[in-house]
Parts: sequence; structure tokens; C-alpha cells
Amino acid sequence: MKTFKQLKAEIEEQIAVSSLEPDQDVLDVFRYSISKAGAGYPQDNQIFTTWFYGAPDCGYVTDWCYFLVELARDEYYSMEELCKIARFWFVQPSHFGEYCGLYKQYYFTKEIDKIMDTLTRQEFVELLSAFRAYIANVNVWVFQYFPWGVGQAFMRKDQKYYEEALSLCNG
Amino acid sequence: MMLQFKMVWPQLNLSVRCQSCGKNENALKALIENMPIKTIQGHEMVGGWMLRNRSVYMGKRFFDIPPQEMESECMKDAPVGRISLLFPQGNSTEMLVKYDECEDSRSYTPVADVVEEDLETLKQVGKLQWKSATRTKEVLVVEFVAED
Repeated sequence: MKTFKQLKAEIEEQIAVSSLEPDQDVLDVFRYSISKAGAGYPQDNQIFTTWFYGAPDCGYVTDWCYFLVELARDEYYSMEELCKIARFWFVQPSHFGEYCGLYKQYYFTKEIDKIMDTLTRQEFVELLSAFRAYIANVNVWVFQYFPWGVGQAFMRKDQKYYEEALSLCNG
Repeated sequence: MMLQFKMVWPQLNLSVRCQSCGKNENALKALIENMPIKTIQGHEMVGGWMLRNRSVYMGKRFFDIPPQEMESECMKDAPVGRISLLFPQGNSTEMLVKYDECEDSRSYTPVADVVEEDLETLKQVGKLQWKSATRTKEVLVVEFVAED
């Protein structure tokens, strides 16, 4: 089991590595369409569903960490309660992210989970803040490589559009 | 301390000057104390014409201003050129720069404005970043640099 300092240093190292260079997990899944963990394989071997479900979970983990740190500022919540809430909130989406091929973020989640009960309030804040910064970088690369251009195939429609379509049908 | 900074896109050879908008100056001061900051430039995908930096790392000074102590502003009502933060806390924040019309009715933390003379440059960068996000996928870096 890592110490708080060791784990925080390891996360900070990954923050530095992924700030300006793509995270390898994101490259594999979102740029090269490789999903080693099997997500999408049962769905005709497609990657689109993995993108659709895997990408938002990164965003959720980032935001849950933010809210957890805000709760930790409030002494009303005991450390025991904070750890319980944390496990409810970010372990599951992080685990799902792993199933979609984003391995490193779940590795950190598991390491945080191992030492969470031993952390002081300040350490809890610092560790989740560092983890949030790393996940934010992962999120940056997900948004970079997500093929937003496919949205051109699914434009918004309105009443006028359907009225014109109806008039064509009535020809 | 002068509450002003530059956003620089070296690959585009473009930059804009930014100054305090008169709101949340303590938050802007904390952000500037963390500069220089380099990150990947992104774009908002649903709320309107905004540049969006999803990971602005604040490794020098831990951001510890409680959200209830900061003024918020609806993005739809914010002026073009407004620079706002989303969830600033600890080591990181998101940043949004409005460069044209927005429909986003959520509230953000306004901290600065792009100066009037640089708004056309800001729009130019915005359009190039939209092109990158939806077509070319070119990775653009942005640098935040404090100004004396």
C-alpha cells in the first residue's frame, strides 16, 4: 500500500506528463479505436457505444471530486462519512471508465480507495484535488479526439423542417 | 499587482490581452499567481461560441476561495470577451472565454475580459478552434502569461 505522499507524487507526475502530451489510454480508445477491455465487443464490435458511455464518466469523476472536496471543507461531515460518500460517488464511474479502456485513472482510484480511511481531512482534500487535475487532463484529450464532426449528420430539426417534408410528401 | 494577463496561441501566432472585469478579483489574483500556465485549447460543444480550457492546472498556489464567496454570472448574459472560471478549486479549474453568442443559462465565475481592441483576434481563434474540434483535430496549445 502506498503512502499519501507517494501516491500524490505519482498522480502529480502523471498530471505533468498528460498536460501537453496525449494520455496513452485516451489515444488508444478515442484516436485509434482500440478497446482492449472488451467494451463494445458484444455490440457488433463497435467503438461508438464505448465512446458514448466512457467519455461522460471521466467528466463525472472530475465533478464528483470537486463536490467531495467542497464537502470536506465542512466539518459537519466526518472523515468516515466523506470516505463513504466518496466510494459511492467516484469508484463506480471510474471502474466503468476502465471497462471502456481508461486504465490509469482506475488504477489511481483503487490506490486512493486503499488508503482513504487513513487520510486526514487535509490529505483527503489534497489527494482528491490532485486526482481531479489528472482526470481533467484525461478529459481534455477525450474532447480533443472525440469525432465531433459526425454531429453534422444529426442536425437539429424544427416544425418548419417537418412542414416542408409533409408538403413534399403531399406533392 | 496588476490584474492583467495574455492568452497566447504560439502555433497560430496570435494573442489577446486580458484584464480584470471588476468581479472576483481575489480569484483572478490566485489564477495569475499560478501563471505561466500552458494547456490544450478546447471549445465548448453545446453552450455556444466559447473557447473552453478543461484543465487549467494551478500547481503553485492552491485555490481555496469558497464558491459562496465568489460572484456568479449567467453565461447567456455575459458580454462577449468575458473570461469565466468553472469549479475553480485546489489544483485546477476550467476556463471559458465567450467570443460570440451563447445560449448557456448556467452560472460561471467571471474574472476578466479580453480587451476591446483584441476581440476580433479572439473571434479568429475561436473559429480556428471550432474547425480543429470538428474537422482537422489539430492540437492547439494556449499559454496564460501574467503581465506587469
